[in-house]
Amino acid sequence: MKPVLAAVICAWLALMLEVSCTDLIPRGALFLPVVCAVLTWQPGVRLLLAGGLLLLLDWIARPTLLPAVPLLLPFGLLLVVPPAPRRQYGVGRRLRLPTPLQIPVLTMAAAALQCLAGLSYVKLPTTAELLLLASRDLTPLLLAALPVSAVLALLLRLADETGLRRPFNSELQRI
Amino acid sequence: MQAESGRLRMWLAACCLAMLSLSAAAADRLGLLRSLRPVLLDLASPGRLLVRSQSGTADNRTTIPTGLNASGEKTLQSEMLEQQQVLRRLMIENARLRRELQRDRQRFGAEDPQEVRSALLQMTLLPAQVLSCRDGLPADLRELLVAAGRARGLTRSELVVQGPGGIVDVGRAQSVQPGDRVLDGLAVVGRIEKSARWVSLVQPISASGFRANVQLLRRTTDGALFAARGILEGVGEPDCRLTGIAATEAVAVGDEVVATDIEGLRGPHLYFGKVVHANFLAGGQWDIRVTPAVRLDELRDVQILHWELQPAEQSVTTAEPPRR
Repeated sequence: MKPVLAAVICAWLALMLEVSCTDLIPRGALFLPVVCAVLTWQPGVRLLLAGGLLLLLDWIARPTLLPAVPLLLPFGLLLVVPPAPRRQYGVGRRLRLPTPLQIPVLTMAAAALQCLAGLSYVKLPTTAELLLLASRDLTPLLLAALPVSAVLALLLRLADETGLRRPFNSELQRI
Repeated sequence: MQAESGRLRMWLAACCLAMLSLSAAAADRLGLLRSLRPVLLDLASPGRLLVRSQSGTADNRTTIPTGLNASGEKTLQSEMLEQQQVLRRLMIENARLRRELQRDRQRFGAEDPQEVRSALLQMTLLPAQVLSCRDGLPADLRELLVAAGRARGLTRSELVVQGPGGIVDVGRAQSVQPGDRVLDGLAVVGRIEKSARWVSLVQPISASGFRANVQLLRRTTDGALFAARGILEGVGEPDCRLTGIAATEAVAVGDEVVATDIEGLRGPHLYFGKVVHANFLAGGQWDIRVTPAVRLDELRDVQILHWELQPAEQSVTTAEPPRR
């Protein structure tokens, strides 16, 4: 329960900073990396549900057209995170993505989903509209979100080294 | 085997979240989440207010030492401060006398009950930051959340206006120069639909249910002329509908639409938009469409028109040291 409580507090702090500095921080630049870090901290049902619910609550508070991020990001996590602990830093065939890259990649996916979810569905967007979206919305968001996600990835690695983080805790106990 | 079952549980959880997200999207489309939205942003508001107050304190801290560093100019600064204080006192006195004069004029010259009400109330503009904006969607889904709520005295149905106004129809020919103050010309964004403690939900003027008394303003070679009065209605489409215009009135595409009153009280002619479609139907009725002047996604800061009671009259007092 403690990781869930800590996740809620971290997400609330990120949301608070974003809302208080809307002219400086693009929407999601702090919140999305923090939630991605929450999802990858200890991949499990509890934190997956907590992160997904936080994304959904953020969408309710600051809506776009569709809740694309809470809808699809949990599936993205399942595709990115390896299924077993011994493969986490290994180089086996089933390894999908190196651990330090998980948070930045998830953040990029979440940012892209958030920008796409803001498009109007009245008509399909043209290439020019998508390019405009990338330059106007996605680039500033990524410029702020990717450094944050990199710092969070480094902190996760540090937590691994110091033993604060135990990914796949239940499986490790069984081993 | 255990790892596989854990993985399966995670997939099930992701599917549950997807179902929940789709349900939330459906509920949002039905308007069931509108009341929840200000509550959620209210939860983040204590921290937001704390951050803003801290940033304000930090600004003050950075500005104060720069003034104290110049020790050689202390005398000059103190004289300037004294002059500023004297000037400020004179300005306050001047404003008070002007207000009293205006109040006396209204008190003894006003016979219309509306004017009496206007004399009792004064209009203030509350600046507010836009917290969340959803534009580019069907008008029923357009929303705006601003950082002002019941804690600042806001109530439902107060008008929200955009700070910068539109273009006025006077120029150098009328001796208008840069720096002249423009009092009217605020463009209406919408109306407060629901106010929580620290945030408020705005109903844009194109949303269904929005109504306002308006008047047409036509530009002619002789200047701007006020024309027919009607009711501006949001219909859930990008453009609003103008109703209540008599068949005998003249309406033309390009006419400006301004407010006749603000919540029943006389106030500045707030700007709503422009007539883009005026068709005289066979049944003897006008079909008039008005495009709003403000796009929601362009907004960063807005102002809220707020009526409050005139402050009580204060007798002339001079600061005298207490006698011992």
